Parts: sequence; C-alpha cells; structure tokens
Amino acid sequence: MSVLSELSSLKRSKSTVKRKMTRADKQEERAGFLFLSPWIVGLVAITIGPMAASLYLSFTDYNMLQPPEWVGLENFTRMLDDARLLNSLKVTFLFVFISVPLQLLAALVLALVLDRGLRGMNLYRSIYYLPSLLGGSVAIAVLWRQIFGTEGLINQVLGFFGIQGQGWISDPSTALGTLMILNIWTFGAPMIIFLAGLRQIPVMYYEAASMDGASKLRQLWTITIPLLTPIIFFNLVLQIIGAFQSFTQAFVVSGGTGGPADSTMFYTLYLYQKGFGNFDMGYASAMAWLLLVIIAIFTLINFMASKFWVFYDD
Amino acid sequence: MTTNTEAAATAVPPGAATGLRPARRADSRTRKGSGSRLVKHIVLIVFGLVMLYPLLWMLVSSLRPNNEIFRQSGLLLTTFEFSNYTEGWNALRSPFGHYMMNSLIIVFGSIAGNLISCSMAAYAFARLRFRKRNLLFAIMLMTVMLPIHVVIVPQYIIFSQLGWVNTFIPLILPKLLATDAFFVFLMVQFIRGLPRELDEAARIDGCGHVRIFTKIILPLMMPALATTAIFTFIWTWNDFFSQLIFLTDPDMYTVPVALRSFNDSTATSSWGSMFAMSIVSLLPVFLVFLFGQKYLVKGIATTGGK
Amino acid sequence: MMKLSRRSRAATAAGLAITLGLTLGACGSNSADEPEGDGNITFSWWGSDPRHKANEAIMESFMAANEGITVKGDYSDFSGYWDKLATTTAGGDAPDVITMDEKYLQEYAGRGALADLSEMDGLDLSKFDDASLALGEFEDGLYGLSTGQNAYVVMINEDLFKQAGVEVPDDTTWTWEDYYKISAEISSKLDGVSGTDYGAQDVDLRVWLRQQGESLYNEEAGEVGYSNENVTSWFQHLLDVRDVAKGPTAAQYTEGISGTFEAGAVPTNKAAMGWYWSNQLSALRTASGSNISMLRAPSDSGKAEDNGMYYKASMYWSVSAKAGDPEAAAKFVDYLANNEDAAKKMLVDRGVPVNPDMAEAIKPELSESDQTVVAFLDEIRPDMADAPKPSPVGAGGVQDVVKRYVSEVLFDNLTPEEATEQMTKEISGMIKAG
Repeated sequence: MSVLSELSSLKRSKSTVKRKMTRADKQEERAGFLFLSPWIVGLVAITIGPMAASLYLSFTDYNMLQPPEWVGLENFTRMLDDARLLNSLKVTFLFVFISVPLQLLAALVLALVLDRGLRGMNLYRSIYYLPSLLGGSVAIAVLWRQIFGTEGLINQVLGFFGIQGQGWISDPSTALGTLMILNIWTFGAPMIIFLAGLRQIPVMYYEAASMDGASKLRQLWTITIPLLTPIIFFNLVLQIIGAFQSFTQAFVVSGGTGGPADSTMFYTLYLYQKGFGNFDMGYASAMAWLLLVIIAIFTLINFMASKFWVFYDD
Repeated sequence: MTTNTEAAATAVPPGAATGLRPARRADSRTRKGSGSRLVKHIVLIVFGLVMLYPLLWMLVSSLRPNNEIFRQSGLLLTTFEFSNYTEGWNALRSPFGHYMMNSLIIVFGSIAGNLISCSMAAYAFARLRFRKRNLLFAIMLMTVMLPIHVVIVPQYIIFSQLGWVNTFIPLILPKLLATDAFFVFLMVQFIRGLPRELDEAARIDGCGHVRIFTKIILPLMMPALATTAIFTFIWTWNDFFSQLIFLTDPDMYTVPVALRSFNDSTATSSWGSMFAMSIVSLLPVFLVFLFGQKYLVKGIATTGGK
Repeated sequence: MMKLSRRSRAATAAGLAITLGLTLGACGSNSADEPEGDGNITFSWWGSDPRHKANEAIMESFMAANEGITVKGDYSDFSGYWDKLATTTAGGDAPDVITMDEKYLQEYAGRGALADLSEMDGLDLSKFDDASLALGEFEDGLYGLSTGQNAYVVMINEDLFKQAGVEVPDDTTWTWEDYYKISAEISSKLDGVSGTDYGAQDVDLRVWLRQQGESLYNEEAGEVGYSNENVTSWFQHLLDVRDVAKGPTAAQYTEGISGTFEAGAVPTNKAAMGWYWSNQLSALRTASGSNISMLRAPSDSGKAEDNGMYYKASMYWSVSAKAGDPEAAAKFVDYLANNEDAAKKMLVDRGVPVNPDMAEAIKPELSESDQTVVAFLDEIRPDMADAPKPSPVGAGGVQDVVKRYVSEVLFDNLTPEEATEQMTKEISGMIKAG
C-alpha cells in the first residue's frame, strides 16, 4: 500500500541522520545533562537515598522502633519457606496477567470509540473516567460489598432470573475475580493516555489513506495501531509495574486482611502487613527488593520485545 | 507557532496536503451515519450507567440518614438528609473548605513541578544523545518499582531531619525534581512519536535545544502535558498515604486525610458526612476533568491538519 | 533554574548525610537532644469526628488552665494512625502523648518507645486500682494508663427475640448449649435472620480459654499459654455455631469481618445476638434502631464466675520516651485521667473511667444507653477475674491470624485440628521473633 510505504519513508533510520561534528555532540551532551538536571538532583537527593536505605534494611532485623541489626541473608532465606509469600506471589501473578490485558483492551476500545465524531464526547469521557476517580476511596469498600455481597446487586439481578447467587466477595474462589473486575472497571487512566496518543496522530495520514480508498478498519490497522504502539507500550509497561504493586483496592475491599482465606492477599499487601502490622520492616524490605527484581525482569522482557512491535518516528 | 506549522507542512506526505478532510466526506453519508451514531449513543449510555452507578450510589448515600446507609441497598431515596452536607462541612476542626484549599496548594505545586521538570527530563531522554543515557533511563524506571511502604520510613527520616515535616515541601519538592517517573516516561513516548523532521527543520533555522524544546516540542506535546496535569491533579487530590504521614497538624490536613477522619472502624463513623464531603471534594476534580479535556485535543493532529 | 538547583544542592547534601545516618543505625536518635521543657506537646488519637471535637475541647480547657503549655492534636482513622505512629517513631519524633491500643502497647513499650508513667512527676495515679494499673504494665514499668474499662459481652436484639417469641435467657446461669438452642430457634422462626453472629476474634478465643483455666499467651515464657485441645474445641465450637446454632454461613462471616462496623449482622438487624465490647452499646442501638441489651458470656457450667469475662482497658494514654517536655506531657495525661471537665467531655467514649470520682462525675451527663453500660459493668463486678496482661511483643498481628484460620475452618478448608496446629506454630513464631 502506498500509505504504508509513505509511512516507512517517514521513519528515518538513525544512520541517515548524520552527526557531523564532535563539537555538536559535546554541546548536545551538555544540553542533555542540563535538561536532566532537576531529575538528577531529585534522584540523588530524594529517591536514591531511601531506596539504598531499604536495600540495606533488607539485610537487617528492623522493627522501626529500634536501630536495625545486621542479619545478613536471613530475611531472604526466611522468604524461601514462607508459604504465604508464595501464595501472595501466585495471587499477584494471576491478577497481573489477567486484569492488565483486559483493562488495556477496554481502555483502547473505549478510547477509539470516544475519540471523535460524536456529540457529548466530553461528557461520555468524564463518565467513563468516574470509577477511576473513586478508585481507592473508602466508599469503594462499601460499594463493592453492596454490589458483590450475598445480598448485593449482582445476586438481586441473578435472583430476578431465578438463579441463586453466592457471596462473591466473601468466597475464596471468587473474591480475587471481583478485584480484577474492579481493576478493569477503573480503566480511565490508560484510556485517557490512549486518547491523548490518538490526538498526536497527524490527520493527514488518514486523509491520504482515505484518498487511496482504504476502509476505516484498514486505516485502524495500518495507521492508528502502528502509530499508537509507543503509547500502547507505555501503558503496558506501567500498568504491569502498577499491577504488581497493587495494594489499595485489596486493602480497602478486604479491610486490610487480604481475605477471605488469603485469596486477595496481594504481594504488596502482605509486605505491608509484615512491615507495619508485625513491625518486621527488614523482612518487608527484603520482599520489596525481590519484587523489584521480578518487576525489572518483566520490564526488561517488555523492552526487548518492543523492538519487534513498537514503531517510533525517530 | 509559524515555525512548527511550516515544519509540519514539510512532513505531509505528497498528495495529502490538499486532500479532503474526513469530516467533509461524511456529509455524503449522513443518513447511514446518523443511524449508526444512534446505536453508538445507546451502547455508550447503557455502559455509562454501569460507570455512573458508584457516583449515583454515593450521591444517594450522602442524602441518607447515617444509620440507613447500611440497612438499605439500591438507589431509592425515601428521605433527603441535606444536613449531611452542612454537618459534614463543619464536622472537623476547620470548615471542609480549609482542607480543600490545602489540597489545592499541593495540587497546583505538583502540577507545575511535574509539567516543568518531567518534560525537561523527557526531552533529554527522547531527543538528546549523552553518555549513560540508557543506564539513567533504566534507573529512572527502577525508581517506580519499589512499593512506597518500604521507602516511606527513610523518606520521613530525611524530611524530618531537614525540619520539613508538617509542611507541604515533602509533598511538592519531589515533583519539582521529576521524581514521578511515570510522567517522564509518558512524555518520552509522546516526544518519540513526533516526527524528527520538525527538530531538524528548526535546527537548520539555527534554533538551540532550549528553543526547540520550548517552541516546538512543548506546544506539540500538549496532549501529553494535559494528561500529566489532569492525572497529577487527580492523583495528588486522592493521595492519602504520604499526606497522612507528612502532615501532623490538623490545620495542614488535606482532603483525603480529612475524609478518613470521619471513619472509625470500631464504632460509629459519620458515613453520611463522609459521603457528602466525598461528593463535594469530587466536584473540582470532575470539573477539571471535564474542561481539561479541551487541551487533550490540541496537538499535532490539529496543527498538522489546518 | 539557578534558584532551583541551589536549593536542591543543599537538599542533596543533607539527603546523603541522613541516609548514611540511617544505615549506620542511628535512627532518629539525634533528635533526643532538643531543648527540654518548651511547653509544646502533641497529642495523637484515632477515631471519628465526635471524638475529634471532644478532644479538641479538652485540649482547649487544659491550655486555659495551664498557661505556658500548648497542646496540638494529630488524628486519623485507626489503620492510618498506626502507620503514622510507626513512621514518626522511627523518625524520632513521635507525638508526646499517644493514645495506645492493647495490641500495640507491648510492641512499643518493649522496644523502648514509651516512657515509664510511674516515674513521671505531676501524674497522680492514686485513684487507679492495682488491677487497672496492671493492664498497662510491662516488666517493671507502667507504660499505658487505662482510659476506661470495657467488658466483652453478648449483645442481643430484644426486638428480634420478641418477634421470634423467644425469651431472653438468664445470663447468670446460661450455658453454651442454651446459647446454641436459642440461636437455632430464632434462626428457624425468623426469615433472613440468624440467631447469633460469630464471636470469632482473638478476644473470643481468650474468653473461651479463660473458661478452661488457660490463657492465650504465657507472657513470662514468651509462648502461647494454652494446650492445643482447647483451641481445637474452640474451632469446633465455631462449627457448632454454624451448624447446630444455625449461625451465618462462612461467606456471611467473611463479609462481616472485613466490613465496617455498621455493616455487621447485629447493626443491620440480621442477627439476634453478637459479640461486642460494652462501650459499643449506644453505637449498636443507633445503627440498628433496635432495642439492644447486654448479656454475660455463657459458660460450660452455667455459673457466672466461670464465664471468663474480664475488664479490659478500652485504650491507654502513653507518653513517648522522646517527649520534648515530659513534665508537660505528664500534666496533660493527669488532666485526662483525673480532671472532671475532661471526663465530662469524654464520657464513656473510651470506656468507663477507672478513677471512681470521674465515673461518679459523669453519671448525670450520660445518655440512657451509656448509663446502662455503667450499671452493667458494676453489676458483673463480683464475677470478674483478673484481666490478662497486654499481648506480648510481636503479637500485634495475632488478631488477623486468628481471623484467617477461623475462615479456613468455616469454609471447611482445614479441620479444627489442622487449624490449631498451624495457628499455634504461626503465633509462637511471631512472639519469638518479637
């Protein structure tokens, strides 16, 4: 297709952008660090310190009230035979791998639908963003119970059709599912990011494609999706990072217990219970660094895979 | 502005510049369009109700007497308890508006900080070549991979030693220093989506990096900036944990901290007041969202098309 | 730009220095050498807005009576309160006067975060009897002063009893068998109502074990204080509540424990009996809109002196070990514990005052529900045994552990024997690590 060839001709490979002088390179490097200076200062002054401290604490016995005591690898060896930790990993992985793709799909579809061309679009977008506004508030805890409880909305609707419901939120086999629904339902943030991404695709591409007689669907596949891949990639990476650290929803809905029977015990919730509930901040820090390694591995995989499907204009 | 319009024009594929805009073409198919549009509206409204349910429920709950909130389910209202609003507004040490003001100060500080510092960092990562760029980028991503619960204690110790606890500094300063890697990465992705030709054209015109950044990149990444501003508003407005930890004087409390202090898990909570004030505190966010969207649509899409 | 980076350079240096300080293990200890006696104290508590109002009024009147001392409040909801307290304590600037809960008292006292109240000038403890002081003791010091007393009781909904045509039992003689029978009868007569809600928390286990002459912890040995068979029988008892007494289902139980107070089965009129602390009576009456009253716990023998009940300190006043002005802090605690104005502002929100003068002073101000509570606590006094000591160091999380195993048993995932074995192992581990 001519559109495609035009697109690829737009995408200049790095080799064609010639660097002429090393002096310009130096200038660019100076500019780079200049632009980066607030971030570097923040990193050194605010971010790195606490991170390093938590790494150090992961090798100590630290109850927050007394100075930490060096215990070497003890926290990490303890983690090996902590069955609840293993369970929390399982719960978290399930949550990440089921709810993130579904949430992103919902966000992308809604972003495409709510992109343009309908009256009242602003209002629709706002309404679809509403659940995300309420996301972690205490009200959600109460609301979720009223929807998924034994006498909740879902069961009332099921009862109307003569189906005997169950306590979705209190049954260990379905409680995690309700949290996944909660997560998917709060797709507002990735949706807005997709919308912003769609806005950045130059209209002229579509105009050119229309002139070539390409159908709407074809335009979606050959223009919208490829040009949106950097944003899809961004959402994927950060939603995965975020989902691995999911805390608030499980905390609020289960009243901080991770129940019933540990079925919504997310990794970060368990970490929090260990740290703040049991005053075992050393162990919590060790858990946090294990989580960091896990997330880093998945992020790395994501970045490596991105070479095959993400298109940049630079 | 003329520079980038011209620059954008140079990037237009041959033959496209004079092409008809899709909106105009749609006129010829109005009848078919309106039918499918109606279907679209109906589907959107039905799903919209599902999305709207929590707000409606909160609204209804905010108008119920405290002890009926849990004994009644559904959205049917039998009485209107407006006193929840008047009582909730005055239930705490200061009128609720005081906490909203505190939140607004932090929110605006954070928005300004994120917009400036994150966009600068993003420009460097996306467009400039310097040593250790990839390593620094990886480090930046790593900073969002640790749960807050293990870094809050060291963070608190730092700010406490600096004498900044119970001020807004621990909540705003980090934003001025681009510690929100989420937004840096977001903007990096957006900048990388902009055609390089724009920068190249400007360079040929003799622009330095500061000018390219302020005159070309920033205006073109309006959607990303709007997204950042909107999200910073909402997330800061709702951020309970760090505001709870760093603010110790009730006069400094913010909306989320104030909302929680209606709650007592072991005895009666003032649920009516809490829901009423939740609704009140949702208003600014909802308005910002509704009107902030206007800026989501400004970007290369409009500049390039005109 | 320039301004920004200059400020941040200072921050950088400071940040690095402090990180080093932390890693060297000098956590917050450097702030101890603040000038003493500046008359500024902070007072922290958890709760909802009526308590905030009451405490602020108390602080006002205290300041009016004590020139030169300024008290500032610091409050939040229950779970946020403990996160904040742990963090500020780690940072070396915990509030000076701290509202403490039984399950955390020893965590903080045992780790040197609290001051010994018995050695504080200006705090008069003469009106507190030994039994109530013992509730706040750790090793040889007094680290928490009871804010008031509660007892763990059976709350019954008399309206539902009437509807079911069931008579309210005589609580000085009733047995667990009676309890099951009454519950089953109500469950079968009323639609959508359970005879009883579960009493399935660590307190319930404590009461059960005390009835068998044992206790949850053996504080001296740093071990659990029970033999496994008595915990197994407790889990079996909960299964009996489910099956014999026709109590709520396992799912309803889990909904109840992770929910809010008002969403519970008794406050929503879905259970005719339930287990609560005595000071929750008026909250229960308000939430349910029903006629709720209190009964003693049943026992095996049907004798009231065997029912294992005890007075618990509703909360404690504690003083931080690093209080900037310990004298002013002591003065304020004294005001909270021994001043009539303060007592009249708190009423029985934090239990019935231990100081008999205060208990007397507030009587005319009390609502009918609260008067009932005071009278009930008086009435059961002859049968009360010594209260258990505060939970040992490391046991702060036991409450959640018990809840978790109860739901495993009620969902039939574990047998009572398996649950007992695993739970004992876990609790022992926690206490030892503490």
